[in-house]
Amino acid sequence: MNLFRAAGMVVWAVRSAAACALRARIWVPFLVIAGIQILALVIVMNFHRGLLTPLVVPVIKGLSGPGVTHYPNFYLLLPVVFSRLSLLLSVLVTCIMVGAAIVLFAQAFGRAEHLKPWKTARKRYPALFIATAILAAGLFAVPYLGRLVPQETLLENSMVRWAARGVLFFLSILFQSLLVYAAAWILLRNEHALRAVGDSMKLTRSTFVPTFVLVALPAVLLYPLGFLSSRSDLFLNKFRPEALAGIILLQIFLELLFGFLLVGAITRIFIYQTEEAA
Amino acid sequence: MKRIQALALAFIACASLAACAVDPDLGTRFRAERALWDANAEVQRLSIRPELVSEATWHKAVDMFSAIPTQYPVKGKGETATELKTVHAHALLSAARIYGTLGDSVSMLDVYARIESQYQDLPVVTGEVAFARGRLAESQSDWTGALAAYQEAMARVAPRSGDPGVAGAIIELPLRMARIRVMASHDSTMAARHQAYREAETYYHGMIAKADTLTALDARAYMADVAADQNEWDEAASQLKALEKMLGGMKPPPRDPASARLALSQLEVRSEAPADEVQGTLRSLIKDYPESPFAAQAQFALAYSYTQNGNTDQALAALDAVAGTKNVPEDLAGQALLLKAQILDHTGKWTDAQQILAALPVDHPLSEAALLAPIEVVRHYERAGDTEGAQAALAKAETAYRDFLNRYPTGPVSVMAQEKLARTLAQEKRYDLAVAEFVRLGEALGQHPAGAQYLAAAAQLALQQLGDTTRAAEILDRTATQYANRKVGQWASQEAARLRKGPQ
Repeated sequence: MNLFRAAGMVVWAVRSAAACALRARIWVPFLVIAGIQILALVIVMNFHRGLLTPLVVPVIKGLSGPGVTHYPNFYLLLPVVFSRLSLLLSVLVTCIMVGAAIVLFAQAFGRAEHLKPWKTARKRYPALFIATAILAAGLFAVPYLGRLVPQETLLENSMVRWAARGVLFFLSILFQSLLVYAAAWILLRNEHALRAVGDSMKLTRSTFVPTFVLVALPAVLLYPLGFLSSRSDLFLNKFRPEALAGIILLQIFLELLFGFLLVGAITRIFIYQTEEAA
Repeated sequence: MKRIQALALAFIACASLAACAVDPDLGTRFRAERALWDANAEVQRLSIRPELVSEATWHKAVDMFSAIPTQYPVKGKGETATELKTVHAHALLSAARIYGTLGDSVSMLDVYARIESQYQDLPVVTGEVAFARGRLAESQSDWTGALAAYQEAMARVAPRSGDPGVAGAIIELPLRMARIRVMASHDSTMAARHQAYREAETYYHGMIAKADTLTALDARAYMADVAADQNEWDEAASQLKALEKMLGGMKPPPRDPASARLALSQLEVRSEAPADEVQGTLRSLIKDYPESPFAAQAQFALAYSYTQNGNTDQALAALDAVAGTKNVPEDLAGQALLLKAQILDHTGKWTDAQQILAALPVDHPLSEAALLAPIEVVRHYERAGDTEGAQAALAKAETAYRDFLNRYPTGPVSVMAQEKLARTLAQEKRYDLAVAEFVRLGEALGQHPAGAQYLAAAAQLALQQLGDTTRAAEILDRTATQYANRKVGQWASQEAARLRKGPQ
């Protein structure tokens, strides 16, 4: 696919998704995801209160180590805790909402009109769970590749540090791009999890540039916030540590908007590539 | 439905198990840590302009710290309970520190007593209290009390170099204690000195042999000081050489090996070694560590040594080398220019010297040398017997200090500028203004011992130059109020009373 056609496809897919912005039904799954994330954040931030302590402490310790229960260490580690918890929630719960959103978008594009979005997503939960678990495992593993670079070199050389960050960022986008169509294969083509993962990779290969750009765009736009929350030491010195929770809330809000466009655009490309282009 | 019930039961069982595993003090400790953080942040905020903070505000900060142990009580007995108690103790230590800053040593000692009685099982905390008691006793010249407190601190806390807390300060104590013993004994014989340093020697030898590398390095540096204090110059030099060798062999070294070579040159100066020997050591430092920040310091020391020998050309070359070094600290660059101006003045090149002195406050405005430059001009005219020139230079110096204080009203350099302004005014015989400046400076320094000196200087000027006994007594009264719990405060009160009574 040449670059002009790829660029045209990205613009067309995003415009198609944006055209659905006034359909309130489609927003529901994304609002539920944001609601779950906010609830999780509130629960995690209140881990020190009586009833929540026994339930939340083992979880946050498991996600980021024993030092997390100290102040202000907790806020230093909050971005890590929250990103890992979100990943866990995406596998356990929010994959259903993403599934429902794909069906709702497909219906908006005139397909799968006979399907009931929420019921279909719930019915296909095991397959969605497996596909999302594979994606989450990959995304969880990517940062660990950074350990291949000697720690001393990373600390001493800022060029190496930024190059390592760039490579890891690229790899995580690549991995997401390869699996981004898996849920659509599961819900709209009724495939089982592993076959859907395989077919998603094939579809990504045939539409590599537009798919990669679509996945990369929100990731790039959200990168400054992610970077800022990873430099939580700055917050400790300049503001109150609690300000990090504000950054995470902003991240949740932006993910809501970008998630809507990404799922819509990906569904549009999926339908086009599997039906119209053929 | 049965499946949901089973799931709910499993969840309750897991939650109950988790509840048993989690320490009951964990949440309380987190909140106590947060309260301590908030209180510390408040103190940091107040410390930006302490002269604008009222005593009542400081007492509110003390209350914030003191309330932490009662607001967040310990419930359990585990590791978290110990951590929570440590937070309590640190909060009380911070409260004691504020009392110390306010000069309220009675309340400070009360808090220390509370910590010692309630937190006996926390050796680091009680060690810190013992250390603070030692410092207080030392500042009050209570040598026996200081030695006992330091001994206790050493018994409770293991030394750990680089530690920002009391563990990092412990390693210096044997040397300090030896110096206190010498001061307290009033016996100036070398035998008494050796006796006073014996314990320190044994301690540092033990540290060099046993401790982790960083502590062993520090122990060697202190061992050099111990030897130098007893005029055992060869032993001190050998310790510094060994230290440099150890640092050179480490990758990366925790400290610059050049620092040990510079210390060796300072030791040679102290032992009154021939100038050639000192200069040789400094030149070797510059040759062996050209990239080290200590190379510029060595160049300056070399220039000073050449100046002492009357070798002005080489001194000027060394000072040019300081100026040519990259990233020279502001103070060192200023000092080098001031010394250059002094050399040029003494060799009859006043115009060149004057140019440097005029440029100094512009190029290095925050250095001490920049504040000394106007005085240097005054001295030149005084030496030349030019009274008119000296008066004009004094007026210029006054303007320069006032300008500086307008631009930088607070900070340690500003205190220096204010002191120079007061002294310049006194030299101009404008005693009324000089007294006012000294009083302002003394009051601004709060509880700092230097504040009392400036207030005393103001009282002396008021009495001797203005003949104003009432004003002198008033200033002494202010000193007595400001240093109410200190010896100097009592002295000021007695002096004020004596002045009011008039000559007996």
